[in-house]
Amino acid sequence: MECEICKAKATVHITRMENGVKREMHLCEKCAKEKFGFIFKVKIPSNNTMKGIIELMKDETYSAKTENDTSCPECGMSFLEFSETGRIGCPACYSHFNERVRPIIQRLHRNDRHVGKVPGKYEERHHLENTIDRCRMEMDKAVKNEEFERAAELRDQIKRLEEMQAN
Amino acid sequence: MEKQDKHLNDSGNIALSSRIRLARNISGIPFPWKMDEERGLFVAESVREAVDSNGELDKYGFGFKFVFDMDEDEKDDLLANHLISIDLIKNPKTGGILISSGKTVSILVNEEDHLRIQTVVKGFNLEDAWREADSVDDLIEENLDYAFDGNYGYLTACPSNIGTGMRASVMLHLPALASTKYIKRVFDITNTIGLTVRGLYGEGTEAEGDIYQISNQITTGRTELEIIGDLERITKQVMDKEIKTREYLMAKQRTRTEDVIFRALGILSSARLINRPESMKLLSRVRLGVDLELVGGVEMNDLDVLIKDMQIAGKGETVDSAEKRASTIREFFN
Ligand SMILES: [Zn+2]
Ligand SMILES: [Zn+2]
Repeated sequence: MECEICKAKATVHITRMENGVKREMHLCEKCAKEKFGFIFKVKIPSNNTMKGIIELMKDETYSAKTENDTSCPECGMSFLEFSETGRIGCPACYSHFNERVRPIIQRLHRNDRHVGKVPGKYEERHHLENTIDRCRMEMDKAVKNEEFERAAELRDQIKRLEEMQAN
Repeated sequence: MEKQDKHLNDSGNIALSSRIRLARNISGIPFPWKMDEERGLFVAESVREAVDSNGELDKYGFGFKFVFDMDEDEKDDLLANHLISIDLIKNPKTGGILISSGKTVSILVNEEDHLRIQTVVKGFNLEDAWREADSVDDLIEENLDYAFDGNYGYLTACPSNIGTGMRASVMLHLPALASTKYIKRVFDITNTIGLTVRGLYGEGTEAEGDIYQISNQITTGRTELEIIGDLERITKQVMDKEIKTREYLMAKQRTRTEDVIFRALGILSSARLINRPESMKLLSRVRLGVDLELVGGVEMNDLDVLIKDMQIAGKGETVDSAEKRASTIREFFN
């Protein structure tokens, strides 16, 4: 993959929210440093352990307080608690603290995107979601074209798929 | 192919074991350090049920035990076999373990993560260890909802395990290499490519009994098999280096090498008091002697069991324990 700015090999992958839209950026280390200088200020922790993370958190680029730091709605963990323990409270913390945790994951693993095994159920669910989305789009089109019989068929199919999803 | 097999055989005694550990959590439940006792017991019950209700897991003969149901000897034994960890023992209220009848597959419950699926295979064989862990993981997942994110992968209590949640490791006995400066380079090189080497017992570059563990540090951005491939490549290089060093010692310093080995054997077969560090140092030398076929009449498997036993019997060193250790070792060699 090429760096979006200079076309060198992209080694940094960043997901950002821009005007409420998720946008992925692929950059080389040099451009990433220029654009988000803070990410690369700290050297790689010598070991990927809780200790390594606590060490990392001593750097203010990772631990600096921001105004909209709130605790995780699911487990109540605060970001300060994470800084001190190097541990995440619950699965939901990952999305709640996404913008703060992501740079740490990138630092630890030089990457933040999982490309390995996927649970069988997740794969199925994912497939189901895609199928439902496609049916919805087709149904809208059918309604627009006044093909009501086809739209009703699709509506029933969506209902069946959604029942499967609920189980 | 034939050549490769021979190579593996040659280094068969250098690699003690290969292990895979998968960190998994149940969705919607806080990680163990953040959950109350009630939820902890619920997790333990759910995991147990997921295992018990799956007929395909019957062949493993898993048995469940809470930490609070284990006596001290049992804990020591499980620790020495690397089946449980200090972290698990630190959670006596809800921590538990499922162990297969052959003790090659285990599932830690409520350690750092809700589940830690572990497999161990003798020698250098990460692929078999992975296949086994992968399939046990699939079967457990049929009855549990794992915390999984499309982008981040398997979510773990510590971000250092995120993604695959996999730690692959090989345990190596490197007595020749450890006596040279090259061991330091092995540490440096592996660290730059996302792997790590450490002494299995002891801190930093010091390894009691010259036993080292190589494992991956990076758990995301690469597939499980890619991570395993990196680890295999480096492990082979390290084992090669150990073999070359042994060959050098035998060719250029044979008498000295034999002297070191047989002196160790002499002390071990006659000492009346011996502490753990000394016993581990000397047993390592004798193990090298057995591997080089200098020392006869000792079965490698039996010796490895003895070495493992000596590692456990090290807590709270007293004259009594030093005497008991010396006598166990003496009996073994006489
Ligand atoms: Zn660039
Ligand atoms: Zn949380």
